[in-house]
Amino acid sequence: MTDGRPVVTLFYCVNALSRQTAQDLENAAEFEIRPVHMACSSMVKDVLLLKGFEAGADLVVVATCPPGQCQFIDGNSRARKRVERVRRLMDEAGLEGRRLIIIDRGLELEYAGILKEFESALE
Amino acid sequence: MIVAEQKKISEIIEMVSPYRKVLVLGCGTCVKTCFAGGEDEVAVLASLLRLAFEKQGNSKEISEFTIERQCEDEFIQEAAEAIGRNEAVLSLACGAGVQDIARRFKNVPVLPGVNTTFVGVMEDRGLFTEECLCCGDCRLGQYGAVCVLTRCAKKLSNGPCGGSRNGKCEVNPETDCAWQLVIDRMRELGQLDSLREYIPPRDWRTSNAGGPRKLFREDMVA
Repeated sequence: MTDGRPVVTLFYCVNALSRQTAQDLENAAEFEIRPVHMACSSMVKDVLLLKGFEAGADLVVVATCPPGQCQFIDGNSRARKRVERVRRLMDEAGLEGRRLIIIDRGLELEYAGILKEFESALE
Repeated sequence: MIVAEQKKISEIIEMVSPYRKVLVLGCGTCVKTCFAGGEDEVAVLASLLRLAFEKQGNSKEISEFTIERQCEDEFIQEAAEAIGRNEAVLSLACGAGVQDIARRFKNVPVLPGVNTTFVGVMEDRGLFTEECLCCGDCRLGQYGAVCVLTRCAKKLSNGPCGGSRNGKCEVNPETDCAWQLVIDRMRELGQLDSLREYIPPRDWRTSNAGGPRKLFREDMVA
């Protein structure tokens, strides 16, 4: 059950968000954030992104490390390709692919900046 | 393997629209390997369909099931119960699988979710290329295991044509010249001289030009 706040499913690489930022996001007042932490953003599969929407998310976000900074070499670029593919499929199906976003600024982006990204995606 | 690609989601949505309960049925062999119709693709497609119809306010039940092969009765039977619970089947198998499912379940519409494209191989990660036309009269032994019928744009049995540049086909510069591959391979095998032999035109009666072909193995019949 949701309480009326926009629901955001956040898949994030543990190296892309600090522990503090992740905790702050979980307690964000503006959004109901459903966090899914992963050892690497490449672990997110196409179907998991869609399951986020099936479970009621208004926005699905994948937070990755910045380009060229993945500990596992190309995990973040794999995640990006998946996000782009699913976004294209969603557009084809009339499901507003813009509701699926990727944030790839890693630890550089903090709590407020991330919320701003959510807000602009939901506009 | 048989290579296929998933149809556009808009086409699929239109096809399944008349039915209230639809089973998305995957095939775990060829189409799984080419990322068109295995368990993962079934899950993604079913999820997209559920979301799309929900958005349209169109109440539908979209369920999922994947069997090892849709072209073998032994495996098809495993899907009988799931098929029985639905009004239509969206099959992600190749054309043979779609038809085999339809043959076994006469009262259920079976719709194709993929376009069956060719018989080929995975040449590189994510890259599939056609390598066999299923002509019914294999001559690979004469060409160093490179099918000139499939891979030469001009289908030359006695080549090369002389139009290739830097080992690439003049018809499509992104394609390797099949005859260059034949010559390189035969040279490596020390059999280049065998290409001097004239190869007569093919007897196309073994192809599918005369309608569907059949193969009967009497020794397999009780």
